[in-house]
Amino acid sequence: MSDKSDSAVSRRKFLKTVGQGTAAVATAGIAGGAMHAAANKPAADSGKKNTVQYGMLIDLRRCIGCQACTVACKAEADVPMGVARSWVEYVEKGRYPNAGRSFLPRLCNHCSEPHCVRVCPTGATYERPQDGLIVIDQGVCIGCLYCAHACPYGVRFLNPVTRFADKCDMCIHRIYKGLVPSCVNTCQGRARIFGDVNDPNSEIHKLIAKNPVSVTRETYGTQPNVYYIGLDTTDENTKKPGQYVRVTTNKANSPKRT
Amino acid sequence: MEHHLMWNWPMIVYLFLAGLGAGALAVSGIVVLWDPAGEFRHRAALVARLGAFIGPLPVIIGTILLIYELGRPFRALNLFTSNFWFMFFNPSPMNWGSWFILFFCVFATVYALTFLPWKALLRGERGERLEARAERMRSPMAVICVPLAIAMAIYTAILLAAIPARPLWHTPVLWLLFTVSAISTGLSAIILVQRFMFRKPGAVRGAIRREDPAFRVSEYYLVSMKVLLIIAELVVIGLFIMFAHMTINSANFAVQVLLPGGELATTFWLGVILVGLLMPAFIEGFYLLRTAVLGHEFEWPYVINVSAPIAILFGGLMLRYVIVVGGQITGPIGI
Amino acid sequence: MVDRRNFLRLGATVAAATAASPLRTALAAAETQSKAGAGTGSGASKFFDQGGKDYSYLRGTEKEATPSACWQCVSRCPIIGFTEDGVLNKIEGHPNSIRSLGKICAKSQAGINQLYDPDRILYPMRRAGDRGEGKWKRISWDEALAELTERLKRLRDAGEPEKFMFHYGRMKGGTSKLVHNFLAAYGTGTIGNHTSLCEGGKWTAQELTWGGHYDNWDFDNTQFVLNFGSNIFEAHTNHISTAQRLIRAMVDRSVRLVTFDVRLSNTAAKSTQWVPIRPGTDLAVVLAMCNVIMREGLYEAGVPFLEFCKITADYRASVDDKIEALKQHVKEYKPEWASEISGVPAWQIVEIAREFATRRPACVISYRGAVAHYNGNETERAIQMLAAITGNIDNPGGRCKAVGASWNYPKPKKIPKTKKLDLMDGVAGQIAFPTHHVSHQVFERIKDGSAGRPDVYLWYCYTPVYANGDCKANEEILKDESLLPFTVCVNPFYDESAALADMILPDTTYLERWDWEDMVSPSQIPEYYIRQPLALPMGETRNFADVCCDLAKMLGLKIGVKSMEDFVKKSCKKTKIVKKKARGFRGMKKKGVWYNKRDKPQYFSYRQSVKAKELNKATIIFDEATGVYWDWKTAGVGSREAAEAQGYTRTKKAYRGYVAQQFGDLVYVGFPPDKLNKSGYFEIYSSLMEERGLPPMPTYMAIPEHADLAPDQLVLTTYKVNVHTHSRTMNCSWLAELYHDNPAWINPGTAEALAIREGDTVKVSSAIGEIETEVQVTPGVVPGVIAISHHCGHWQYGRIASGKRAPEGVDDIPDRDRRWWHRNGVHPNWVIPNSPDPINGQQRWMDTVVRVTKI
Ligand SMILES: Nc1nc2c(c(=O)[nH]1)N[C@H]1C(S)=C(S)[C@@H](COP(=O)(O)OP(=O)(O)OC[C@H]3O[C@@H](n4cnc5c(=O)[nH]c(N)nc54)[C@H](O)[C@@H]3O)O[C@H]1N2
Ligand SMILES: Nc1nc2c(c(=O)[nH]1)N[C@H]1C(S)=C(S)[C@@H](COP(=O)(O)OP(=O)(O)OC[C@H]3O[C@@H](n4cnc5c(=O)[nH]c(N)nc54)[C@H](O)[C@@H]3O)O[C@H]1N2
Ligand code: SF4
Ligand code: SF4
Ligand code: SF4
Ligand code: SF4
Ligand code: SF4
Ligand SMILES: [Mo]
Repeated sequence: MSDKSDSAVSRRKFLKTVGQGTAAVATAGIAGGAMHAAANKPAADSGKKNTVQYGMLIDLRRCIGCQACTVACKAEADVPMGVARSWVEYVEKGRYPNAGRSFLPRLCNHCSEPHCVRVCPTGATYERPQDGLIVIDQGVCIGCLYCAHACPYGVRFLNPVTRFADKCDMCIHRIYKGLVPSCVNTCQGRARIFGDVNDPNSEIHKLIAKNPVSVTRETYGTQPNVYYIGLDTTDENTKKPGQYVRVTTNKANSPKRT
Repeated sequence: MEHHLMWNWPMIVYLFLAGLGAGALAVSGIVVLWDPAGEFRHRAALVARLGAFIGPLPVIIGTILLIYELGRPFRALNLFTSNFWFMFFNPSPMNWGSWFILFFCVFATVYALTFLPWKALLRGERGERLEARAERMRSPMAVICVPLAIAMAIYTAILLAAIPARPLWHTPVLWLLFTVSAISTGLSAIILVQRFMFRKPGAVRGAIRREDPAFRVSEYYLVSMKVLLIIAELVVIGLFIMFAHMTINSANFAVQVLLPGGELATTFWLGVILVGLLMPAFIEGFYLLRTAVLGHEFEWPYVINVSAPIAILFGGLMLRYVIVVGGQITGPIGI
Repeated sequence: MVDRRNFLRLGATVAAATAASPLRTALAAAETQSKAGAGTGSGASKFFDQGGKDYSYLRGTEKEATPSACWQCVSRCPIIGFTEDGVLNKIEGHPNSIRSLGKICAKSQAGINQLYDPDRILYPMRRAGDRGEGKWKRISWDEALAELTERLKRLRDAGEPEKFMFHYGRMKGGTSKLVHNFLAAYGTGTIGNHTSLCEGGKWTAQELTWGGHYDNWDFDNTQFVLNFGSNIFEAHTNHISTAQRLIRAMVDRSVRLVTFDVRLSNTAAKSTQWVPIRPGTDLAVVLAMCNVIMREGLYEAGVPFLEFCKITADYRASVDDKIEALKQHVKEYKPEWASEISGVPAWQIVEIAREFATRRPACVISYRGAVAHYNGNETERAIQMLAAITGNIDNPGGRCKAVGASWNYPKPKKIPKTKKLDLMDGVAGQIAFPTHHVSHQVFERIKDGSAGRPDVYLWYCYTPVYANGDCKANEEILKDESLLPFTVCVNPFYDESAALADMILPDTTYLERWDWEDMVSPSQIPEYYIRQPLALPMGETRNFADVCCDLAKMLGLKIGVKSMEDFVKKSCKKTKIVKKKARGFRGMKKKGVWYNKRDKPQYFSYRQSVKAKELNKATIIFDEATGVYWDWKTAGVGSREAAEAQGYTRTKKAYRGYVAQQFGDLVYVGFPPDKLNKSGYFEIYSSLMEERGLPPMPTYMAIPEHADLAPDQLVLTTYKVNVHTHSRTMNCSWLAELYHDNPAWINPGTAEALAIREGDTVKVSSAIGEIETEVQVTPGVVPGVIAISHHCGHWQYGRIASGKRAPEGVDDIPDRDRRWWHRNGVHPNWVIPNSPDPINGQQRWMDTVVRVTKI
């Protein structure tokens, strides 16, 4: 706790570490030593600032709403029909002839203050101390979906095949082999940039530093690690009378974005 | 509009049943604790006994329902195996809740056992010994059970209220609303069972005059309790809506589903408010007032006698429905 | 053989493994040999590979990677397929492609759904009941081919091979060559295509101006992009390759994109500026822009491209004369005039024209929004003119001539004289230059019968019922045994047309076959790439090209190859550069794509001078009237005298002998003709047009039906969306999930005038029929227009597409019961008549006038 010494932070870290430990213990049974060791190693490290925090930057200027990411994500983990780990929202607004449409890809934000982790009763959802990713250990999860309600971004869902909670895991099986996530790989506009937000030499870090970036639903305080360049914050729910705003998602039966 | 609900009927029923059980247990415990002298033994014992028997049942049924719904029953054990201390470090209401349920089921069952007619069940000395012990244990058990029951009722609300991403749930009023509703449904369940057990209204007539010493445990007493609870619940609902409405953010947006024009308005106003609260309040209030103001003997037709508590139970279920569903179909606003 | 059961078995192991926590398994495998993990906390920036590999989500093991080529749409981007236990479960872009730069779109990712579609046709089938009744019986390949050969033999022996009609939709690359070889060897020229449904009109207009067809847009070097009716960010025939370059240019170099479209396509939305325009009026705007440019002297002055343009009847005219002629021609096309017609403010036309002319290089792009109209030919010619006068032709950053791989391939030894039924070019004489045929009138011509009728009608990669206008008529004709006695459908899927066939031959999907490809390269450097199977053919499906080889054998024809694989192998050998530099077939199989790293982008192709030596051949003569050097022998003329007497333009197919063009006192390659006897000039002035009594210079033509519309009459526009290809991808669950319904877009003003509200159901009726659909009121569409995409509304094509099971469909497929949508939209072609652009025969998809009433 070198630089952030206020007690709230320390307590938080403490809670996290314990949480992690528990999850890792629960996990070690099958995964063997590798995972256990990996999970515990950086916990001994100092404050968050120096640790790896993987995240994503989505440069909306480059996003053409092509949905390649949506489908690439489906294919990568064989996500069943009716649910999605990542999707693209279309926001259409304006008055003829000044009408516009913008695109907003969404995925798990791998938050630094993840509400999903706090509510998970089993510790199945946890933050990986070595890279800040929020993952679900399906060997522990009971499928109660409490986490899904807690996430302010609606990115969690019940996988109808496994019957466990599911969401974007930042393609952890790819990145640890040195590959970019699947959605990043396919992104036509090269709008999605993946990397270690804390690493000053990484592309993502530099872009975040140089550009005006924003995150979504900041007020919920989860400190997301998915950043956007050129985010349009128009919301169909808060539009004024007479204003035309239409937000469409392609999620099953869910006109609302939650 | 079609919605993709992550928590649906099993959860709704579970919350309702958990509240009902907790309410019944609380009523039973309170009656036991308020009757230390055992003066109105017979009547008090009836309410307390029914409450004690009703208490654990719905909770157990609701929990089994929920676990069954999860699909892999044994997985639910993970709630406990992840270790006891974990809940203090990971203050997940659901984790706390599962321990509550566990303790509730255990203690409520033990408490219920203290009401069993041991003497009749086990003849001889053993029966007598057990009955005596049961009676001795009843009050201490009630001391444990009442707070546990109230905690259970509150927990069903905190489970929802702990979630900022669901603005309809994330309100400091919800625990009050659910607790009042829990007690009121618990009480109604007791009354209903009592009605079914003592079909003939005449069986209790005569015992419920104002001047009757059995007043506190009389029908009249229970019904007035119920009406008072209804009034309290109406007030809390008013608070609930006002609170959300006065908050200029997603909570205000969320509460619109319940207000006229909202998607759940009909269910809410008809099911919860009219059928579940106003109707029983008016009907029962009518007979109550007849007794209270005009001094008439407290009596009423059997149909109403039965249907009023049913309406309240229905209203309680509908309340869980609109809240659980309403919370899910409204969400955080803002991009 | 991999069948669906095997696939499902993996599905089951997947489910089981999932229960045992995939995260753990994958992590355990990943982290023991972690690359990324090694950098933890060290601050060392990590390099992540962009692609070429993939790992199993469940097992963490590396998947088997095979390079191939996509075919979900005509762009045919190079891909890598990843398999686990022989099951294809991931497709990525090929990272080494100079065209696609490793990217693919949503449709491509969902190719897997094509392969494992539960409603695939897996066995040859013969109709059991009446035609179209839906009763089928499974037959063996031997039976199927025996019957077909028997019929084909009979026709050929009777001396009427032309009564075998072959009709294809998308058939490209090597397959196209092999199949054409087979048909040529057999002797039929009755070959229909689908190009007039597509963009044939654009091609003809280009053939009239710069000879070849297909233009490439050099976004990597451009400064400004002006777009008439191209939905490049969602569709386009070279989508992946071009779209990413455009968005990159826009963000990295602040290139502005101005899009004219009748609706807010994603392209329009992403443009710097969307200019809404009334349907079919782009021509007026383009002409007015030319007016502004000529009037204000903004035309190309430096290295005058006008030297290479023919602008008056006399190709020898001076540049000054040409400028004068141009000025004269566009004088009347004032911005105010165009504004009146198009609804685009005059000032905007002026501003955009100025910007286009002064930001050099600039690129004007156009697609079906501009050409699928009555005046499409003239619109595209005018756009060519706009590019030409500003010098933006075949230059870095402009509108370039297409560059692609040129494969050599095996050809049949003996080709009989082909005979053909005159069914392909519409009613004789009605279409001036049907260089890409008038396929949407083929059925009409068959019904008419005056040009004869095919005895055997076989279609491939095509759905005549669904892709053409007037679905009802198409169904009736295809059903009518007196018109078409024997019909064969080659298809992996049970589409609306297959349902009406006599025999269905189950084709493989593109993921199970061989081919070589040659799609245009946006970098102006040719790329060679191949398609190879990523999975074994399902069931008894067989690649149609292989079937052609078998048929050839059974018919005793020599087409030089045994199979499609053999064809690809031999092509790799015959194509010198591939053999030498890309290590032939073996190298291509391994690498998938190849281009010469030393190649420079090809620009200014017309400026390559032709040496006198090359013109000295005995068979080459000079044509005074046009300034063309041509080889009469290659053109198929008997003697020099005959050739000289007829002259270049009047000799049938003289363009085949084109060699070079005289420009002043120099001889250049120029703009060689492709399908028409034009000169080597960039012909803004077309003598060919003139000869047909058509305006030689791009001239305004109004769309007759659009004059005087009643208030409830709207113009119907159909369009493509980013996640579907025509009708053919609606069976892909990952795509259908994203887009399965197509409510009609109507402008709020129009809706109000018609008393229609969001969500209302309306009747859309035209002269030939009516459909019902829901309305979406949006400012993203021009008043007076109703826009309906043409992907939806299937009534066959399997359960994902229409909810209707195909004969012999299987049930044990994972996602089957999760189709959560209940409406699958409506197909607009029920109300769109088949009606050609009079100059080139292009189907006028965007012109239909409809009445819209609330019901
Ligand atoms: N996703 C996807 N990509 C595809 C295909 C596909 O089906 N899906 N198909 C491929 C094929 S075969 C082709 S030919 C290409 C076609 O590619 P495009 O021609 O780019 O696509 P379309 O959607 O046919 O038409 C383009 C636009 O024309 C607009 N438009 C209609 N009328 C007018 C008009 O009068 N003026 C102007 N300015 N615009 C107008 C429409 O609104 C539409 O946005 O795409 C290829 N790529
Ligand atoms: N209203 C309207 N209609 C249009 C258009 C429009 O803009 N508006 N666009 C037009 C355009 S641009 C085009 S190019 C045409 C396209 O017209 P088509 O080429 O006819 O249509 P597709 O949907 O591409 O595919 C036709 C059939 O090919 C079959 N198929 C798919 N894969 C394979 C395969 O591997 N092998 C074989 N043998 N068959 C296969 C499918 O069953 C499908 O039904 O449609 C045109 N139709
Ligand atoms: S986005 Fe939601 S699921 Fe992801 S870490 Fe944040 S709170 Fe958790
Ligand atoms: S569904 Fe699984 S991950 Fe989510 S809260 Fe429940 S146990 Fe935790
Ligand atoms: S990182 Fe992987 S899991 Fe997450 S959205 Fe992208 S493809 Fe899906
Ligand atoms: S793949 Fe890239 S460009 Fe396409 S929608 Fe996703 S983020 Fe946007
Ligand atoms: S653009 Fe067409 S060919 Fe290229 S990846 Fe997409 S579907 Fe395949
Ligand atoms: Mo096309």
